[in-house]
Amino acid sequence: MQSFTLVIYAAPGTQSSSTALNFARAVLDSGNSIYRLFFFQDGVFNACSFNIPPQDEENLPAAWQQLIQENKLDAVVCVASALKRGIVNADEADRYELPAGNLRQGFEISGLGQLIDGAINADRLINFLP
Amino acid sequence: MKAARKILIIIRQAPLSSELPAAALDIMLTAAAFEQDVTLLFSGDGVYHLGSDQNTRGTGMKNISQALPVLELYDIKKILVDEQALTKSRLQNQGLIIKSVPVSLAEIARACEDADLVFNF
Repeated sequence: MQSFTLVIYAAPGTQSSSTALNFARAVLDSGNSIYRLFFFQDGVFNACSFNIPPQDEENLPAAWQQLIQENKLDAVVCVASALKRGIVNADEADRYELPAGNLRQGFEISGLGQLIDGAINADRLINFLP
Repeated sequence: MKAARKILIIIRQAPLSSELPAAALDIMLTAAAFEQDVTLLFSGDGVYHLGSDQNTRGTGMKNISQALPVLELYDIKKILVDEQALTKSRLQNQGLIIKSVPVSLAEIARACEDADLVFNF
């Protein structure tokens, strides 16, 4: 059994982020484990709760959330990437006097140190570039 | 904490092409702060980051070339550059912004093999 850290750099709607989700499912289905999911750069849009995709399209952020909650995965969103793109939790919304937080439950905002921690402590690191 | 991992970070994209080169730099500095064994390689169009006169004014993008001389302060001394791409760019004539070691394709392959982790941007 191997542990994986996945780094997701691309927004929902790209092949890259869908592939990352399928890869994460395959890791778990094959009896391996996920040490951490790290959402970086445009990948932070996968953690947005305000997205309303058309009915005939997959809701990728909702699918990520389901996977994270069902498997109790550690899902970290890069704080600098998130704030820059308008993804905030309730605390950050308060701090910056924004009307509401929009980070999905199950995701956590933290720093780039969590990426390096994930890289050095998992058996495998897989980057999903845009 | 585990022994330091050998981390190779490859920058292949040109300045102003995307935010990935800046991400590479952020990852590198964080890895160095975690006392990992970091090597940086400029390859392909990525070699243009080494030009001493990169200017991003008016583009809204960070000039990461200016940040490169700081790497020595973080104890990142292993900076490699793809020899073929460097020659093609003719950057040597104007002087590079940071000291880097030209490497052949075979040496790049060996650096990838040696590394525990590769970030390829």
